[in-house]
Amino acid sequence: MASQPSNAAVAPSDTPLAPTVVKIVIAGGFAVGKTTFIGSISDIDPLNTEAAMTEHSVGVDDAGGVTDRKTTTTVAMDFGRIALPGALWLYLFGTPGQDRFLFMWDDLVRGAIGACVLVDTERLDQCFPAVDYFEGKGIPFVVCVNCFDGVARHKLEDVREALGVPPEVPMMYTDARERSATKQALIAVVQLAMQRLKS
Amino acid sequence: MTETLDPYKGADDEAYTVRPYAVTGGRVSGASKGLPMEALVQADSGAQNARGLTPEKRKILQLAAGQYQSVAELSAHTRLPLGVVRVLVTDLAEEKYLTIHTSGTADDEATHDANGGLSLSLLESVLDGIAAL
Repeated sequence: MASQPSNAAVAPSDTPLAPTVVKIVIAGGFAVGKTTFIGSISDIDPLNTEAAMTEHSVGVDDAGGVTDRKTTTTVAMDFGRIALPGALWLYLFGTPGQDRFLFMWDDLVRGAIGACVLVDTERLDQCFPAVDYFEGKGIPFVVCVNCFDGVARHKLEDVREALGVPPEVPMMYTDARERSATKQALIAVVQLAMQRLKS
Repeated sequence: MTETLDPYKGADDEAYTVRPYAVTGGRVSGASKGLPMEALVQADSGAQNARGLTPEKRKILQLAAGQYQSVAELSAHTRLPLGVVRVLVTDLAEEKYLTIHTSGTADDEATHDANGGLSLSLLESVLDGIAAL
């Protein structure tokens, strides 16, 4: 075989370099404001992607001797995108709401900068799976208490105690509708990831 | 948008007219399995006019023609599940219809260490970028 110089690794000069993509995961319970949070800062209207899966539901429907049937379930994830200077694209991925889809999170968090856990203090228990997951996986995360109607109903330290998160996990109030608040939350996630790297 | 290019048009409630993985020939994993959902895809404009493409592949090429689209965006716009889009995109890349870019993702050794952590310089750029918004 004739040896020819390979140009496979060299991009043609007229092709601009593809953007570098990074992502931050937005977690929290159902209807806590994840999509609003993403939409407050995203360049595009939040999009929705689905991951269909086939589940075995064993013994759920025993009628007629059918004990093992397959059903197709879809899991929806909302996401948005922000173009940053220097051909850098930041994706924000919302986690599927129900914790029975936690196994999907491995795919979601792979390579992520970190995560932001949105908390509704009226339904604190809804964010437990997210907190447990990120702690268990060692993924940097910040806790953002979403203030519905702009009212903070609980002290951050009380929420920290109720969630049982250690002092090194940053906590803050946020308003998922406010771009500036969302921006601060994202900055906190990146700063935390940088601290982890330096320590 | 013509009927043939959008087989799922108007099918919001019943997203699939065929079983999702029928369009991949039943394949679910292989090389596509680890493709990050934020990986960018770009097709040459005109690639969608090639002969012998399935409507799903044609649609993907059309969406990514001359612009970057993430695997997740392609999934959202085609209303096909992520796993299906991963298989189709990997096929199309092997067939040289499109290019996959993974810069910045976990698959990029230049920006991630062996443990999957991002490089400090990349994080600094992201931080500066968000702060400037």
